Amino acid sequence: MHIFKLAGRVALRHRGLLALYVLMMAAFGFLMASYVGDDTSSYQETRPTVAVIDRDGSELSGALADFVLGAGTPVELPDTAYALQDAAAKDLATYVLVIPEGYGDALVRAAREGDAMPILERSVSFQGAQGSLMDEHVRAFAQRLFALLECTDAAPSEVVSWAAEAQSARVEVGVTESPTTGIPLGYLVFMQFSTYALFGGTAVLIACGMRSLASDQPVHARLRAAGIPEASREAQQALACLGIGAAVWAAMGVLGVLWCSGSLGGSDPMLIALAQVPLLALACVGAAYGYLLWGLGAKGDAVHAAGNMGSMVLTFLGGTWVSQASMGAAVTAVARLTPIWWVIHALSEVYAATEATGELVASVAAQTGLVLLFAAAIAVAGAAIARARARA
Amino acid sequence: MNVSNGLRTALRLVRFDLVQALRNRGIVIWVMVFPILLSTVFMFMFDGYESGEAIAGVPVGLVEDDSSEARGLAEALEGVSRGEDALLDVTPYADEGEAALAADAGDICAYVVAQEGEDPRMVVPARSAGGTDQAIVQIVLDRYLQVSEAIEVVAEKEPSALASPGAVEELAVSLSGDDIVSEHISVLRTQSSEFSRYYYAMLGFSSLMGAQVALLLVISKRADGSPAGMRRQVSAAGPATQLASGLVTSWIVVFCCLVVSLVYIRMVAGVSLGGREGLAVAACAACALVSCAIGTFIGAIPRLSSETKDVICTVLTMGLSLPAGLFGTPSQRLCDWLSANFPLVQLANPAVQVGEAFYRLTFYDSLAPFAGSLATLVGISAALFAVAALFMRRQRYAYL
Repeated sequence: MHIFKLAGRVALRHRGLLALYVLMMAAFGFLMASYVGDDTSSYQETRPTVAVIDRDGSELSGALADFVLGAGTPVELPDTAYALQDAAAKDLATYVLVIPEGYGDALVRAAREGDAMPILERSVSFQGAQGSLMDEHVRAFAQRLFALLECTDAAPSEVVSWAAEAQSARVEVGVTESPTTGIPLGYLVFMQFSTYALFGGTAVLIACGMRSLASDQPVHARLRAAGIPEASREAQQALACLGIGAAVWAAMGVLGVLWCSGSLGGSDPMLIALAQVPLLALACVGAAYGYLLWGLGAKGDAVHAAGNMGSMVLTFLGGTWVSQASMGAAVTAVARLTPIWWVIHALSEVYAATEATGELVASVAAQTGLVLLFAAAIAVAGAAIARARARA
Repeated sequence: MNVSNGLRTALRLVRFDLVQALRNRGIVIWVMVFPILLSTVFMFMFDGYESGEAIAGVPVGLVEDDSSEARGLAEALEGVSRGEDALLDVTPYADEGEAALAADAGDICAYVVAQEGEDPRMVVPARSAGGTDQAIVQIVLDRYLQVSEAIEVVAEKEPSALASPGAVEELAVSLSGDDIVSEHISVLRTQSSEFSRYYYAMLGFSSLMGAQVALLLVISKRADGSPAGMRRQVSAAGPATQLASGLVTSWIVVFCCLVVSLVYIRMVAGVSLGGREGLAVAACAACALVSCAIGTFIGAIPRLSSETKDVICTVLTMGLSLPAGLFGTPSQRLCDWLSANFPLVQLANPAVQVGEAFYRLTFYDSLAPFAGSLATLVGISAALFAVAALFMRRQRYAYL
């Protein structure tokens, strides 16, 4: 096992690469996990960012403005074209209500004299669904003002007060009593982020780290002359790649558990352990890819480019950055042909579960098996190329 | 004659540097191929996925006991679940246990319990409490309750309004009506999409990756960078001329790559630039400048090996791209949060400013914000060049 130890030691001595692809990626994952936060078992109403431009200034428009600002998270917005564009383009305010001049009087006339209904204006950012939600809120409240004006002789100030009073009637919201011992959302995000390092990081670490042992290097010639059977040497090199993959996986696992330990407190340890299985399989795929790059004799920038680009493309397709549910059928069909898709899918199943049932374990095992098939296919190609180049 | 010779020498140096840069496979892949590849991935991923305003068919469960109170609520829910664009999609359940299982499995976003002698309740799954769909169901239920509450308020405050026969029904119908009109106004020059951000952030990422070109050329000309750099330092062409040639070359390479990426995402991916394609090319020029400045800055850091500088360049690229919103929804939310709470941090981040420049150019009427982003990029470049110059001045005498 001399070559196995040598290769592993040489590769893991590249501290810069370890810091970049393990520590930094784990830190990114932790940052995102901290930012996303964890599941709450209590219901919190969706409150989109809102702003109101009240060009009317009447009691009725004031009531509408107060209602909107109370129903969402208010944002200050001046009445300028630039501010409106800024809010819509960058989603600074998901919903902006513009109350035109004369709206209050026109609403009273529409209710009591049958005049045309005045029109409210809204600007919605690209978060269209939340904008629609807010618009439903606003129109419901404005409809109440209109109905009270239409069916009573009360002054607008009284109507405003009655409408606000009626607003206090709200449905009681509870949550299901399911046991919430599953893995927390923050830890799921960390594991999703770790797929980048497990695939690309492992590959770069192997291809760059073991570069000095490549077939075009003097060390390789000395090793060939050392009397170790070729099959043994190749097997030890391949095992070293697997060992490096396992080391990266273990490092990411330990860092993840340590950094997310606060939120993992109530989680089922079986589920946490189960989630590591597809990740280990992905580290094997990364190791196989690194072995392939190493066998091809790639070096320096080319390895970084191939590792990072491969990782970036596969993580996007796999659903690390964008939810798998939002992908179209054609993209999903292609994505299923990539290993990270199956890893993310397996992680999602573990996240959705509250206990490690036999069905869940079987499903995760099947998906891990698929991922390992990718690893085997790439490793075989890598071995063939490495052998051909060594003999050339 | 001297000027002509100097120009010829400079052009020759630029040509050599261009060959050196383009022979580096890593750079060619990173700066040229990567943006096109990632744009293609984005294009396929986001194809046909647009987050429209319309909300329809929100899946909700209903558990009721056939009492008159429950029937009233059930009818109200059925009212908004009829038709093609129905707001809700109501599924009845025999009991709460069955509905809770369906909610936990994600088949419905919530369920409503309507039973005699009880106020209606909405129950959401514990693992996903607080989504937009649930808020829609809540609005429908709130409105149902508020109609009754408003009638009670009127009965208490102005009983005469409800004295005539049919007045209560008339008020109830009016309260549940849909007379209010709100119109969507389009304030942007072109329709915004949450996916545009990915393309603009990708351009920011590519600009930063382009720093590798300047880094390669600066290292190859520094006496402490490589044996070739040592020889170059004592050649006929002065160090300043060689450095200038390297910077011009790296600017040309990155600028051309960014323009190719821009043409690709405009023509093939169909990402809008608001009809300001010419100005977008000017933005590429500023992005290429900041890219050169970053590469020069890293290349000038003394007493670091080339490999360490490569790692620093990659760390910077990834680290600065994270708050620019390239890495999915969580990083976009981080970007928004930083922009709202720490705008200076975002202002100093070139990856963010590159994305901002294209965003402002595309969506805003005024060109002032776009000019602001370009000025910021030029400012960041100037600062980095100044620090790099200081590093180089100090090194010159120590190493030669």
